[in-house]
Amino acid sequence: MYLLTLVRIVMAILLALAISSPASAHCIVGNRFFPATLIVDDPCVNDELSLPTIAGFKNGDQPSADELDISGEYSKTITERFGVSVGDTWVHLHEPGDGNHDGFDNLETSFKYQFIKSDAQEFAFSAALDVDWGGTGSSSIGADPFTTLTPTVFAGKGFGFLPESMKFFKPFAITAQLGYAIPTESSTSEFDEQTGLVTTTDNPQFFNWGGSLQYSMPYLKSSVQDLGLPPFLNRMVPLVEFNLSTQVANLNGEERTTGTVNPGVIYVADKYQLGVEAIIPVNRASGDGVGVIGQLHLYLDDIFPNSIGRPLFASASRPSGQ
Amino acid sequence: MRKFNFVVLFLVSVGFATTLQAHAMLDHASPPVGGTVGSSPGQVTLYFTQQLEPKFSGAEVRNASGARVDKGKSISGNVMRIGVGAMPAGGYTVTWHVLSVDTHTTQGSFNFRVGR
Repeated sequence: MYLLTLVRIVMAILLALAISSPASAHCIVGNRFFPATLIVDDPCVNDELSLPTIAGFKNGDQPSADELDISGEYSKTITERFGVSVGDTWVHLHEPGDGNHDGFDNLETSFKYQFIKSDAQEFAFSAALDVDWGGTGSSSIGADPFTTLTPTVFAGKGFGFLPESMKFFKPFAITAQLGYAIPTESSTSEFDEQTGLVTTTDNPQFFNWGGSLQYSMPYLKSSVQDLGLPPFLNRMVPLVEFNLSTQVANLNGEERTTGTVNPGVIYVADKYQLGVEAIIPVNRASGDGVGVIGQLHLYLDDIFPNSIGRPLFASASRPSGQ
Repeated sequence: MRKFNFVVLFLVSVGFATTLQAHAMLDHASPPVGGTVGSSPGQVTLYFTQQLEPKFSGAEVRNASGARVDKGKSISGNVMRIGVGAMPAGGYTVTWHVLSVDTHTTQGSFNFRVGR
């Protein structure tokens, strides 16, 4: 536990002390800027910090528990194409008849590589290995005792290719995230104090699928038509995210597909963004009623352009002038 | 307590931030993005959200047949001016690329029309 505490503190200290070289990052692909979406990840590697992300909802337990999640995630570019992320979530549960429980969920890391960033096509593609480190979270909030590996691919595509006759559809963009979650243990055994029995539960493999449909008001203003709207509106990105998981192997008998649909809006400032979305469960096993999630997201490459906002290793070359 | 430590240490790190620049994005333009002007504007002016590095920033203006009509540029602070001379009625495309003073690169393009 002390080791885990040390890791978390070191994460924060690195923000203050890391020293590196030249610039890049941000998910800008030609005319297109993909904001950092709240539920699924964007298709780029970045220097960024999501802190805090706060979500309140009724979870899918029977009976449903009131859940409050407060999380943070730090992403660092190692090279211009390779980045790592570290994140964790503090969970508070209010369970009917069982009082309150709280604690940290498992530590999560991600190792992500940017394969494609096509300015002309407004297309980005990356792949990552996400690792949920079993046993690093609190059992009182149900953190998995086993590690889960999730190879995941990410893609984003802007609609700037549309003809001028459809110019007001050009600000649309879609992103997608597809992953396959593989638990490192096929089952988990637990001792039930009430019955005195040991119960064994299968740990399913999941196909995780999600994405977003977004409409970029900044794109509308700077690349399609400046309508003279108030600056506040010109910084908005209304969007709908969805994120689902489907059991595909080693099924445990519970609902096979769970997930949420998340309509909301992101306000994009120069050095940060603010996002808020509704959490709408797709079925009862995914939650009970509508919840809400909000996030402050900091663009570290803009806040610290000469230090931690740059890749640790990058070429110092500049684009040719004209 | 652990979360408290994280937040405090991060806020301290933010407090040490010195140079506060960001990506240079196109704020507005004249002629306006997607707009129409009645007669040849003489120059195209791009206003960015950040100061630019003139040596590594530029733009070109092409007519509907793809021929370049720009005739030089000047950059001062966050403003780029592109000379275009007399422009016949028709559609034009501006394609720009800039390097902000903190070395972030951005690029973009937009259309406008001359004549009714």
